[in-house]
Amino acid sequence: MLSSVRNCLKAAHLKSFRNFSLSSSVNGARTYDGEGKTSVHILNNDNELGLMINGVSQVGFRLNNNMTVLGPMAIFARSVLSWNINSVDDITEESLSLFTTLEPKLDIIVIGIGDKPDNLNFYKRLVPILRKHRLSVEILPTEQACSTFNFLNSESRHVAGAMIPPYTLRTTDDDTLLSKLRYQNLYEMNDIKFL
Amino acid sequence: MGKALSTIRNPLRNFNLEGRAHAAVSKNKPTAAPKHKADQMNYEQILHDHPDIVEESRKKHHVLDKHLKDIYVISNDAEVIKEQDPNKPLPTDRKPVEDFEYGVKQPTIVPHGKITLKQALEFISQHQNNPAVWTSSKISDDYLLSEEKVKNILKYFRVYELYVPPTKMNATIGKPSLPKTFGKRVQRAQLASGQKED
Repeated sequence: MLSSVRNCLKAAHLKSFRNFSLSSSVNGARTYDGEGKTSVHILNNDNELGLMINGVSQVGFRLNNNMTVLGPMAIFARSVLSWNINSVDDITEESLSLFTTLEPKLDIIVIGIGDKPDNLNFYKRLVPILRKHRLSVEILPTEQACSTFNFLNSESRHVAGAMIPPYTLRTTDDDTLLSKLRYQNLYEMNDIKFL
Repeated sequence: MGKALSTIRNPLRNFNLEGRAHAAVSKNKPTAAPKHKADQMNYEQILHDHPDIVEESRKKHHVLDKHLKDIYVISNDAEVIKEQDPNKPLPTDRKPVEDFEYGVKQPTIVPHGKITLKQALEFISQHQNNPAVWTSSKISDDYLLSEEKVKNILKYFRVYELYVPPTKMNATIGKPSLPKTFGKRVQRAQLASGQKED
């Protein structure tokens, strides 16, 4: 765990991080209730729906229970564990051991592999492992994997997420502003020093 | 087009329509519509052949009428007896079902070589708190897992340690203000030279 966090810290330039909580829900949607009346339901604000990922940065993740988690993580419907790996190359049968031994069997595992991969060679390595244990899996860049996990969890599926923080992030001005507001240094000129 | 043609054919059809309608409605007993030709012939035939039966049918039978009035029927709903299996009682609680602690129901019977998420979290944290006692061999015995699998799980999965950062204090608001001192402003140069004030 420590080694992976340290590596992430070394590489991180920590400008800002990506926020996810702006999605509207399918679950809470009501039927049409009149002209001019619409309601917005924010998925991540609903505590009953379980643990979700609010934001991702180069060092870790922010969850919807106001916790910040450092390094790669294994996230379940209502619990989170640290995942002691460095990169996609470390995703092996051994490092997926917990997911393969769980009872009841997981419906789906969402693997966030960090950045968008240059080549898809890791599929050749992963597919036989997953096929052997009959696991259904969704392999995505972490940014997409986080929102996929949120949606699947809100649908109360038996889902697990295995996420590696990405090195590069697509951030907007809104993300920067929100993270500055969160750490109360809106009027300071220097960049955010920590997640 | 149809209406125009029919108006040409019967120009006086709607003449004094309302008056005629009122006259028809305000009649005490409506005039019966004329019978069909065949029916009319049948009716006349019966009247001619069996005049006594027709006469009988027009009379009021007091005895039969009394019988009808004397009879009355009481009906009750049939009692439906549902047999309940005492081993499988039907639910009586209508409250919404509460969510499970770990998102899904943790099974009571776990096959060998498998663990529930609750058990996994349990032994990972126990091992982390006290690795000397909760060795991988002890865990593998307790949870019926292969020791290699336990080692892998313990190597790659850890529980988090909670760190709560100190709350940020706004210095200008949070600091106590210094006690005010009252006195004359003295220039630094004067004090240094040892001059006394008057």
